[in-house]
Amino acid sequence: MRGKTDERYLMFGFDMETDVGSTSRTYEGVQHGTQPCIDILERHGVQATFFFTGDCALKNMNILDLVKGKGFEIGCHSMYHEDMGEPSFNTSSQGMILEEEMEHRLEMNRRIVREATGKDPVSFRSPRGFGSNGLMRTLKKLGFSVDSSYMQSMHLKRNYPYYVAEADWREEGAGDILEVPLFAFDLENAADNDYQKKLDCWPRIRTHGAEFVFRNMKPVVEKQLAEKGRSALAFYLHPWEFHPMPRSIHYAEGTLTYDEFLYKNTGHKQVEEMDRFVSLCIADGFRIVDFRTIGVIFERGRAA
Amino acid sequence: MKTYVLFAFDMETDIGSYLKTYDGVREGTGRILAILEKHRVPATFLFTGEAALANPEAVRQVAAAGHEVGCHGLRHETVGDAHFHMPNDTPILESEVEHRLRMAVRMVRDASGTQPVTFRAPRLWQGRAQVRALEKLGFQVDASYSVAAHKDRILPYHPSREDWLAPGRMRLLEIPNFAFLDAETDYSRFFCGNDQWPLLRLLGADFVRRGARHVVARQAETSTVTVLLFYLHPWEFVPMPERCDYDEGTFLFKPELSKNCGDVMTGEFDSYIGMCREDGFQFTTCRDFCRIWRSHERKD
Repeated sequence: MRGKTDERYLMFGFDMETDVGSTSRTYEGVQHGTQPCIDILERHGVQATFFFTGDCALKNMNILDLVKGKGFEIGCHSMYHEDMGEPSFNTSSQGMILEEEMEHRLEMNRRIVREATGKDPVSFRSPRGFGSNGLMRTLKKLGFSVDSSYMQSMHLKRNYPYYVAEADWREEGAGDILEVPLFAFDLENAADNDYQKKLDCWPRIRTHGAEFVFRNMKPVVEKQLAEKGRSALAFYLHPWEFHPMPRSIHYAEGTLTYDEFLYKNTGHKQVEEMDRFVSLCIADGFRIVDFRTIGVIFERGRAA
Repeated sequence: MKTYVLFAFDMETDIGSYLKTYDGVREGTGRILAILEKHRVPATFLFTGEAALANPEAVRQVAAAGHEVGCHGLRHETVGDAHFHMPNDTPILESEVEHRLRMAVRMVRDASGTQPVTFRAPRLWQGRAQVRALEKLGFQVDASYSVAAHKDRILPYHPSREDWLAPGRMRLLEIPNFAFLDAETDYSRFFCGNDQWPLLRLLGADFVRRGARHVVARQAETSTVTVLLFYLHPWEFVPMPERCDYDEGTFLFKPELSKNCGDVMTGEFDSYIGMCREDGFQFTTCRDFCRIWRSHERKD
């Protein structure tokens, strides 16, 4: 069934984790960057999803309560931001957790969020967007119905939500999990794709600004509308982008210096650009919903 | 009084957890074996399961030369009590320890043809759950205690099930990795304080010989059997980079991690074995030392 041509959806998902992903143990971004996110969302009256790791929830219950109190969806983002599934780039991490370790860890994450919110979480995002068939089976078993881990910049094929195939989570099939891809810009240049520095939607609101992202996502939207009769684009963001991040961290055995795209314009600039971006999208008539809602919309379409 | 010297090499990826390459295992192992053969000295090689799987030839060489092959975890994962924060390292859960250990044991056994009985925790970050799992899986020696980090125990002991740092009734023998104990040197200026590592590489055989005498003397105050357990790595025997680029940034290592890796370390190791001989020390594996210590315990 095809939707109407004005069915243009955007989803914002905030990954609630340690500062700059897996490299630190601190939660400065969660503590100080979440309120600015909420202010923007409230000012424009739009929804969003906050994906909490279990560890983040336990250590930042004040922030989880804040998000919950405002009525935003709370989803899951693994227990400790561990790498799991199939790696799609070279991290500095110790290695993936084993497939058989995934379920227990995600169940811990699910239970912590369930206890904190009183609701069963339905939406999930995998740390670093690493997915696998095993992850999809585990999510289904734990009662999740929406996953937003597929990165178009890595897997190249999809930017429109689809139900995953059991044999291959990156393909469309009859599964119960709705995969909501993280879109990339113009795929014509995919041949020289250099992870997330060229095509991925992230972190361009911060590094390239609201106008750039708004302008460049338009062809993607138009293509979806032409092919599907509906458009749905997902963004991933992090509270630590809304608070100034350091360029490097020192520790016992050396110094870890981040690539510029990780810290550039974190703090005020990101707050301004995000606010501007939401304004542009609303003025243009986009509907901004959370991941649970896009799951319901697609489920309805599927039933029909 | 007898002094035993135990060389135990952690067979892992280059610079421990940072690189994904095995240059040390592939090129450094031969250099180590040549020196050991020259001096007719036995040693212990502790492979991660993945290192054994990826380098079966190195495991065969070590085993064929008559050295002990032990285990150093599955993927160099940390499990327990961290000594410092390391970016991108999250300890595995206690409930995951035994399964990973079983996998590691199987990989090491398949490659070496013998059941490993000696273990060392990656980064010496040992934990209660892993010590219990080692006992359950039939390990005899844990070579994880760091005197520099934990201070209290300088002689081998059987840990308590409740607190692996305290003596108790486990069958497993914990052999401490020695740290320097003399007041003559200001160790606080070193990268790892008074820890033995990486001072053989940075300061050389003479320095270690002098410092180790104090350690032996301190042990001899309460024991007629004394022991110097070393932790070393094959990657210290080949040149190592000073930095590592990955897709989100760059690690600039402290110079102590790569300095003197290669020929200097190879030469100092060679010299140090000669000095130990002159000092009348004996060389053995962790496994064989365990037997010696048990018979020493029975006599007492």
